Amino acid sequence: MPKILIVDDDPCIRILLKQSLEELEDEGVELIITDNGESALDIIKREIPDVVFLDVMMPKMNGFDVCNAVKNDPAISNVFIVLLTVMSQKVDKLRGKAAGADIYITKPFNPDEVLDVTRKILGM
Amino acid sequence: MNNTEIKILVVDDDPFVRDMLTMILEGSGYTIVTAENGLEALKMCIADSDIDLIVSDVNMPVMDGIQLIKEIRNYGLDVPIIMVTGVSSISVAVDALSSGAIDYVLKDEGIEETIIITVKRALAKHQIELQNKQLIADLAAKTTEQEYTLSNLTAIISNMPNGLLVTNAQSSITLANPAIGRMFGVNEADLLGKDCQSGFAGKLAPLFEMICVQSDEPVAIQMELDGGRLGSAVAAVIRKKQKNSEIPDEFIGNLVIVRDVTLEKEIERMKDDFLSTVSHELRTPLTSVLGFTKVIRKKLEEVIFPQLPSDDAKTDRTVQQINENIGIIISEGERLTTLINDVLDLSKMEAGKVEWKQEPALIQEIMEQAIAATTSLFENKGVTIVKDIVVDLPCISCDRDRIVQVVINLLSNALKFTDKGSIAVMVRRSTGNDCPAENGHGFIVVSIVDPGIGIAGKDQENVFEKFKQVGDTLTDRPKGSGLGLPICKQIVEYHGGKIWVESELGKGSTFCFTLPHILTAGMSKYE
Repeated sequence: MPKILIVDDDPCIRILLKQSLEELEDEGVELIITDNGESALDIIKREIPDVVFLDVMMPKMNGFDVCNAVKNDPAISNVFIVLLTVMSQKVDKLRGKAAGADIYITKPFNPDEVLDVTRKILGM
Repeated sequence: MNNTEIKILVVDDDPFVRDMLTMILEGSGYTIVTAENGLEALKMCIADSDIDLIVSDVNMPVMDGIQLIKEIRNYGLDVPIIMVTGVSSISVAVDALSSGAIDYVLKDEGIEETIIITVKRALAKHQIELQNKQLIADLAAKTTEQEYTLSNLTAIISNMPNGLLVTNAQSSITLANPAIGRMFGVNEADLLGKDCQSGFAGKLAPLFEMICVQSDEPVAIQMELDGGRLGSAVAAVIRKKQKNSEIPDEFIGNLVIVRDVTLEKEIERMKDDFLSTVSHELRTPLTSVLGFTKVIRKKLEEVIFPQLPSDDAKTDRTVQQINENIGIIISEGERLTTLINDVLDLSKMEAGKVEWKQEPALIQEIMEQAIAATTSLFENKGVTIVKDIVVDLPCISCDRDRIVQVVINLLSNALKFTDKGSIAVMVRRSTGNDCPAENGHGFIVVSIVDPGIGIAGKDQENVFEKFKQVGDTLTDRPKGSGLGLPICKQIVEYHGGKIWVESELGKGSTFCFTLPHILTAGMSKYE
């Protein structure tokens, strides 16, 4: 079954994302959750999730760097990365694109939209 | 001056001579008064300042002519005196001249002619002396004034915080103040006489490059100063005005003013950092508030509400209130999000930190894109859009996304104050009367007309100011961020256009903006 990784240092946002996607969990999708970039990269390499919701400003390793590392590693470069961040400026979005992110979503986000996007990515 | 206006005092103890001189001078049209001796003459001169000339005998009782001259000068009187002396008294005449007489006349047979000539000559000479005195006095006053001005300017230039450098037409430095020396870590006195175009430049190289441009348009650049500080320099040419306005003003040199902007830049950076941090810090809790509220609404609608008894009035009312309250939390949360976005956007625009695109675009396509983006808002409120867009409008050169942003903003604004009916969107070329072509550009005018509540005349100029939502903010709940129109103004003005509102309270508003279009061959400027 598909796997989704949620990476955010804010516990409320982690809960919000989990609740936004719980419908998929009911349908058998596995949700993996972590709170920093470094462990996110370890999990991605180990679990190879289908989708990663990745915060940008986090301790240890920021989201841009995680995204860069994933997209430059042939073993995991197919992992779909959604940057989910408070950084709303055009220049931030361009930086996300340069890091290889597949989608850039600005916080605050709409939980229903996150669910719709995920369904489309997973074809569910 | 007419001779009758010239008053001559004839002084002689001999009545025959007095009458003779009076007759001769009156014959030439002069006005004559007489005195019998020096003392009487002196008293008359003191009492009557209109006496223009004295013609006086030398030997007289009470006070003689030489004494009269001395007394007249002692009293500070400037009246010229001609001495009339006997034929044998040349030495007396010399005395008189050395005492201050302007001329002398001998009492001989030709006195009728010589006195007239001497009087004329004396009056003319005195007139020239007066003019000379006046000129010398004026010159002294001007010199003093210029000395004051120069002292003031020197003090200002030496003490001003801005660096100043002046060159002559040959690019040699003629003035450098202490501030410029400090800014570039050089001794300003060493700069004088140096040639800007020689290889000497050194630390001042960026300044000299500016000077060499010699453009009539002021040139401005930023440059590094001594000690890692940052300077903002402006160079301009100095031209001397010509008396004849047809001759172009003479180029006499260049001027550079350097301002230390290190602190300004630091404050600007701190403001940007602060805004950016605040924006990020606000967004995180806002994400939770908005996100969880939406999750709660969904759970209530999908799980909880269907299980409630549907025939209970109290339960129905509670469900309705919960829905309304959740709706308010979400819409207010979204308004807060817009405000955060707008504050960041406007602050970047004002600081000139927005990267603008410039590409040819068709206004028709921009309008369609903006209308499509707001269609659902209009449908939800049951308000229609009536389009009146002239076909074949010329291209504009713009940042397309930003102009779409302006139109969306104006459309949403119009909708905000309109509850029924339709909103008209009109696009046409400027007729030239309302908006004359400038810099070789014609203009396109976009108007958005709503039938809403309108804006009072006194409020119309405020609507484009930051956080100046008009109306009674205590009773009318503000809608939007209060920054939408200021952002529109920044965008339109960046493109060289203007934005304004025409409105009457209770009769709706028309928001218009202009954009310069690209001129194509054969198109008149005022089309």
